[in-house]
Amino acid sequence: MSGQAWGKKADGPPFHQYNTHRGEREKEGKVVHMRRIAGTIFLSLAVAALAVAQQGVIIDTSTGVQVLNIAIPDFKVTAGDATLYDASKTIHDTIWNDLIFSGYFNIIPHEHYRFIPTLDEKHIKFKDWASLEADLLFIGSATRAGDRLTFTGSLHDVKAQNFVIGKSYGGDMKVARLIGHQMANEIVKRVIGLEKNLFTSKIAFISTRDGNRELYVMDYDGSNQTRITFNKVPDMLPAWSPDGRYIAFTSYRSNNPDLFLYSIYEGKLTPVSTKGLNTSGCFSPDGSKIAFSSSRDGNSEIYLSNPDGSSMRRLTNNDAINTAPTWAPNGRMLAFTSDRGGMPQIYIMDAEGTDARKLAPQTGEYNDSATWSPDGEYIIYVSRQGNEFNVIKVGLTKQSLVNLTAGHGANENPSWSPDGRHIIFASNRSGSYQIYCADFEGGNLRPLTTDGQNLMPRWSR
Amino acid sequence: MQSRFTALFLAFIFIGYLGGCKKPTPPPSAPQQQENAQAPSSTAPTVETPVMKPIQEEVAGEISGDLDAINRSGLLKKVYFDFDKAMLRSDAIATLDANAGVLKKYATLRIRIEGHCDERGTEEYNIGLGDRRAKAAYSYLVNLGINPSRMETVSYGKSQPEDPSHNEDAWSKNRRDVFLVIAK
Repeated sequence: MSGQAWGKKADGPPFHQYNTHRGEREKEGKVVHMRRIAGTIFLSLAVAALAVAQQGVIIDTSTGVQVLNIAIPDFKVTAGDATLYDASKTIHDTIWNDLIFSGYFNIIPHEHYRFIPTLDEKHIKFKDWASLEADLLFIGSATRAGDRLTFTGSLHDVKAQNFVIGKSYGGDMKVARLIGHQMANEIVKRVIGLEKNLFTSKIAFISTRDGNRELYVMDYDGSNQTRITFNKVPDMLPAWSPDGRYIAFTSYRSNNPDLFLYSIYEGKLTPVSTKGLNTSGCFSPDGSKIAFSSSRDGNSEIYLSNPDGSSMRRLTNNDAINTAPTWAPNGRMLAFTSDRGGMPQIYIMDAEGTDARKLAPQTGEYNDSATWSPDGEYIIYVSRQGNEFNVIKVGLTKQSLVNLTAGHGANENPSWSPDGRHIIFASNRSGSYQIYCADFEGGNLRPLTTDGQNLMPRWSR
Repeated sequence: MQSRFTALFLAFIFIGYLGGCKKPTPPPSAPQQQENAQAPSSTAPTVETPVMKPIQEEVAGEISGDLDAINRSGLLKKVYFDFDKAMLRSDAIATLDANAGVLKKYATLRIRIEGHCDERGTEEYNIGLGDRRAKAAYSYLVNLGINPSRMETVSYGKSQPEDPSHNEDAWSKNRRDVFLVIAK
């Protein structure tokens, strides 16, 4: 295993071994638009209109969130094919739910456009859609040949009356959900400019549903919960490599908390550090290094190594407990927990281990489990407040402090979504520990798990 | 010549002795008959298997079972800690002194010291705190002369509470070091 393997932004096979082909037909808005108006004498005018329309539909996220109205009518399917209809419905609902989750879209309810007839992309009645105040229209069609499903979808700018993006996907009937997620990724990528594949991201977590703490992985929306480890000892604190192909986690399989690297698509386990305690693995943003806490030399310190455990070196050196490292997205700094001042607090140091200073602002006398937001602007951490644990969000440039979970029991091990607009954490607010997703202001809370105790969620990049 | 006679003589005596020993032994069928009889005669001799008494060596008895049995017997006592602390309290010191005595008495025992925490800490920090608690006992035992090679430490953080309740009584039981015998 070379260091580069973790560093590369890979477009690897999906976790569930689904076999999809994408981009059988991928076309850019400009081309289609040109074709539509070819032969008219208003060519230059139309190109100008296109430029305006493209500006209008692409959201600049830095200036605040603009919610777009989108209509997603039912997709066209071969009449009388119930199997195809079900798959088509799954794709439709997956896109629908993904877009709502993203927070950038308001989906116009079906009943408003039941009677708008044509779904043919060449003859879209844009004025009808405009009358519903739709900014965007997404239409699709699904066909089937035996077990092979093909889906074609296209997004249209209603006001500019032009085509924005189109995609085709093929696969067996089981991949309908995945097709929906991939299509939604493309829509958000095109409209919001989001480069992260949010809807195909995964959440690693620990669950006791089968008796003891085992490693699990699920889709970002809580579906496809899959058990990864099968042993009688605790497994804990998973962390993703940036390319989503590896999970570092701590396991007691040798009667000691050892740090392992799990290769998801090969099912292979590689020991990283196995002397003393070894926890809180965290990959650097480029995937070339892993930071973790170890007492291999006697005291709990922060170490840095290649993901396979080679080239290990120590970054902290004091009598305190030093643990829970998290990387700044620029890869140049680490935040971590240390009780060098008596009680656990969040500190920041540069990636060489020098210039350690206490995170400021910071509230609470017992703080741990820090995690840096993907845009570098925020650190969230867990603070003990009486018998509660709360998730505190620190604005680094705005110097703000917000309690995201006040009054709801213990809330632990927060983790950011790839786009930084959502967080997940484990909370016992319902009586048992379950994993919850919320937006990054703490609202729109929804549980993702129900069985057993579910802990230590970590969202893939 | 004389020694050969002596040997023969001793052999006869020995055989005679064996024969003599056999005499009080009842015939093997006797207990069977007695059981089968509906109304045993009150005059019939009571037959009992003589119980042999092994030498009572207190030392061996405590570690005579398998490792599970030894650990269940509580041969080595747990020590408890204050909230958020890894400092050895006076009651912990007394317990450790007693545990050191046991380890000195059974010089072959190897132990694993498990450090545990209550639920009122975070996962990551609690693993560190449990490690510190296990090492506090380890260092104290080393100072009392226990060979470090006989001991190892491991932290379980808050993952294995002794009492899963959510109150001070449970928490005080969960902040503990457990001394597990792993070889004898």
